[in-house]
Amino acid sequence: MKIRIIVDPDLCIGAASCVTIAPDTFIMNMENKAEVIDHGIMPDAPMYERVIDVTEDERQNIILGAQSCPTLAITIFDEDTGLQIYPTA
Amino acid sequence: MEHVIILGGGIAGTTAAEDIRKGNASVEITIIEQEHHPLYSRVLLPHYVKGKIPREKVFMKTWEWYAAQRIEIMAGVRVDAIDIQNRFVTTSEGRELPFDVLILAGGGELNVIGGEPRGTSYLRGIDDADELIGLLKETGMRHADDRRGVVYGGGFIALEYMNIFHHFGVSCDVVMRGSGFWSSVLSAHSQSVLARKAVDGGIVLHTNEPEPTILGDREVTGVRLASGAEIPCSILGIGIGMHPDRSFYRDCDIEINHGIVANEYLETPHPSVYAIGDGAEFLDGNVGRRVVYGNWMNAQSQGRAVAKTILGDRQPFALVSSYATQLLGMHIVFIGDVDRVAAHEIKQGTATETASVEEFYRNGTIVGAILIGDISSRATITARIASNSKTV
Repeated sequence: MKIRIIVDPDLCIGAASCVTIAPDTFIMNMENKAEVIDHGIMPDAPMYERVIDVTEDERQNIILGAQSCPTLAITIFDEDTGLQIYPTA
Repeated sequence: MEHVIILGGGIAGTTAAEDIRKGNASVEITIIEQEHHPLYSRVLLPHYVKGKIPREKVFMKTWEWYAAQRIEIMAGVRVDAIDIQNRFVTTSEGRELPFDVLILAGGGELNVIGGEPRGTSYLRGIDDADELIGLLKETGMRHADDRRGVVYGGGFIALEYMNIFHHFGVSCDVVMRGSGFWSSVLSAHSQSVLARKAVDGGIVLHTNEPEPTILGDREVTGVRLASGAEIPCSILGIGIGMHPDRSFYRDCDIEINHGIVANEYLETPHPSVYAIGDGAEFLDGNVGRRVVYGNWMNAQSQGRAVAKTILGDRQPFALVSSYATQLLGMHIVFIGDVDRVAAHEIKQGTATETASVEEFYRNGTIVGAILIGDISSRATITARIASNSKTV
């Protein structure tokens, strides 16, 4: 399945908990902000928004990473349905 | 297991409750929380004060969430006593609640100074943030030359006040007990990098000062230093750390040092009594000693870990946690164990006018680091601590 992951750099304070939990999906940049990568690699360089293809286990772990963010800077959408997966309303 | 009681409804306690519920549909779970709010992010309070997010975005749970999870939340309630032998707690409402499992997730007590006339601010929770927003609005109505703030302290919360005052164009004098920022933690060079950044940003530093006297009866009008010098202000932000409520826990026969003493499984010596979060002093296998970490990542991860243990998957807690902040845009990251007294050796790495990197070692193993102005080695150092790599 495909998910769209968006990091809000204005909210990110560099806690890096997402990197700890989901290191294949998040990486810290030189501004101390989290950016999104694709399974440990970064085609087109890291970026604050990216669509990646994940397994169900990977999806669950990425959601855990997003949930760990103390500033709720990470939003995840199901790319096929357009529905927001995290944060839930 | 019939009843889990959790003291403290912050991120550690709430995460523990949530994960226990995921693995056990029938156990009773009760959170006892002194504040009157559902879980919110203290980390978001500076963003909220600066107007970057609306108030409702600070909250991470709703009252309905607790009901849906069948987690009882006793908000605005204090625990007055814990009877470890007979296994019940007594609340401020006079109720006695028996427990099979007790999770101590209460954090610490704020250090305060005498007198709290209006204008004194602590930023301990969202109520303080609401009050600070009001004070900043009032200050904003004054003439530009008369928007004055004073900060007492030199740690994480003090830095937040400096950033907030700078954001709102409020002048900022900082009164510190020590020789500079985190004076018992940072090298002289690290302190000088931060001091230069602060001074360049218009902040006036007063170091090695005893506790200032607050001026003003009903409202803060300023502070008086030991020299007799007076600094006028309408907001006094205080950030001088936390301490464990030692007398309370000792009265309850719970061992307490810098925090509630726990092993690497977050277990206290008492059966099925656990300590997690900012108030726990646990054995950190990555650094080889008992430590207290006051950061969100550690608290949340310990909530998860203790839930696993309670549900039968008992694993030692292992995490290299870090605390990131900034001073007027200069990045600061503390990783792992950065206790200068406990360290056997501290190596100064990068040392320029705008950056400082310190690495902390014990028994030849890196256990912590402080990165200021240059955070490029963060991931590498974190990995080295996690693997307990030896120095070459």
